[in-house]
Amino acid sequence: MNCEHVAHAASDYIDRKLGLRGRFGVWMHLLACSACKAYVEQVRLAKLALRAVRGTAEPAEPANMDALMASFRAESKKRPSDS
Amino acid sequence: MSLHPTEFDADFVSRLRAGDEAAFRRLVGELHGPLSRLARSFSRNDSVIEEAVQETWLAVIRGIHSYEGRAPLRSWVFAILVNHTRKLAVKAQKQFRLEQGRYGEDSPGRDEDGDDPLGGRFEADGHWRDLPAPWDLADPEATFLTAEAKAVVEQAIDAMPESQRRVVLLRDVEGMGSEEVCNILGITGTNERVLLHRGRVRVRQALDTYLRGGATAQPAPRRERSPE
Ligand SMILES: [Zn+2]
Repeated sequence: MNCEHVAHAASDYIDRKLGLRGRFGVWMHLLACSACKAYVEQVRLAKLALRAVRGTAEPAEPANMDALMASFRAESKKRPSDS
Repeated sequence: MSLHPTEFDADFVSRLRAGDEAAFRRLVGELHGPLSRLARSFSRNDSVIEEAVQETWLAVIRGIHSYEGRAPLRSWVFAILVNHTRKLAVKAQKQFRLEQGRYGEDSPGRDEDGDDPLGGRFEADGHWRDLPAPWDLADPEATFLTAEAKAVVEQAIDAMPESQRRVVLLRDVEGMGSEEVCNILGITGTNERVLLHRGRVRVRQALDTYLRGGATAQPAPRRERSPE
């Protein structure tokens, strides 16, 4: 397994989607190759960084929230016994 | 911001069915932003996005009584959104073509097949052309929570081809499992793995440039609603 293979397999390695042989191959390579070790770690950190942007780019509720709540209320009234 | 989004359990679903307004408000508060953002990967037309999310919420209100819990509530809502947005985007595109006689901004997205963010990084023998070097972050989590780092990540997400962006948003930003995401988007597991990895590679690249003191990004302004 060379560096290119490891770079392509980085996400599968991090997410534990590789078979035993693949995982062992990457693991062996990482013992000997500091560049790939840094790279795989950075892909793992990229995943972490993505988690940190949850909910930052869009408004948290619709412009017509009141109307939406009214629809919710109206629908609930139609089904008073349902729960 | 919550790094660990709420799981909606059976009890929560019962509350929604019973007409609990606080529960519905929480559901909207939790998912409205992520839904809008995912919708944006199907259309660049603000009114299409707004309508799609609006219709999704109405469908949730009407459909919660027949929701059978086979998929988690969150996936169920996302799947409704994907259906509505796809339909509306196609309709808007047809309408645009009728009026203008040409493809509009909503025409099919950038070519995913040509996207190879690892391309050109290796010698013929499979060695790195430029060796990646460690970042030396004392507290990565704290770094990624800064406005500047978030802006870097947001820009990288926005630059992704749409199909890649969808997978990255659902898997890594929302934290859903791969089976859930494949069901919502109607793609195979293999495809999902490839798209997710390409997306992460792009984000890693953007962070690498940023952390080495290269280009800095301005924190993006929150998207404002356009005045009616
Ligand atoms: Zn290597």
